[in-house]
Amino acid sequence: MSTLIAIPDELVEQVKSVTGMKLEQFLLDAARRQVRQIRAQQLRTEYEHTHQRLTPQQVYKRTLDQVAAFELKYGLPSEQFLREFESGALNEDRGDWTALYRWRIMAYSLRRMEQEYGFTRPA
Amino acid sequence: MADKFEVYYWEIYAFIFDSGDMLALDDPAFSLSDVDEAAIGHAIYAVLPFRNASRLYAEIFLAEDGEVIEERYAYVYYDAGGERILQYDNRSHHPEIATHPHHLHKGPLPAPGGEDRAWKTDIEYVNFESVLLRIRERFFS
Repeated sequence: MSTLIAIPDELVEQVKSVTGMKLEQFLLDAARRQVRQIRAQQLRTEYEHTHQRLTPQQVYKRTLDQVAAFELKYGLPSEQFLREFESGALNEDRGDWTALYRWRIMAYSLRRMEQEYGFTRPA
Repeated sequence: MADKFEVYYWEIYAFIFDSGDMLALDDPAFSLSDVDEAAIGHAIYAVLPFRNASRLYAEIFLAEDGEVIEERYAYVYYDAGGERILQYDNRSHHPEIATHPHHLHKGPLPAPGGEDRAWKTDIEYVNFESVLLRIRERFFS
């Protein structure tokens, strides 16, 4: 089944400013982006109907468990880890190169949830 | 506000599944964090196996600056043999790079004790879509 997409006026104006060989690619990219946004909305709607969403408390608990595992493994509190890893005082783990990048993301996530929802780590 | 992060997540999700010609979506190594982590914790992480057995690790922490931005990120791309090909990240440990904190590492991991040289990033605005497009352009065109 074909998908009809509406082209916003601002997009038409942008198209007018693009000429030559780039025009075809520009139109193709714009159309792909529009279709992707429609698909994203469809995926989201489908997910809402088939999955039970997690609460902030559940996401916090899950993130905390992951962060605590990293802290135990590397023997470092997360705040110290973030300072040292960002500054380069601490480098990647050669045995698991992306592990510290995951810890970094999880630690920022945990900090954000503590600020937004007021969660605190158990003593 | 959570809504913006959810929309961002679903657009990444759609982009991944739109890239099935390049990605091995049925590979058991494929993984993508769930929408609740993006909406509530602002975190997205993924392991994306490609059809040529190369693999991209993505670690993203989202923030809002008018629109959703990837405030902290690392994208590490390995070849089929597990050798790193390139890595985009924005740790702040390379202030000498003109595009600081955004920078690029190229080639295999350095030898123990060796320097992991950084370069100016070659993507104007690093995010999930631009990194995947760059990989397509360089390795799948």
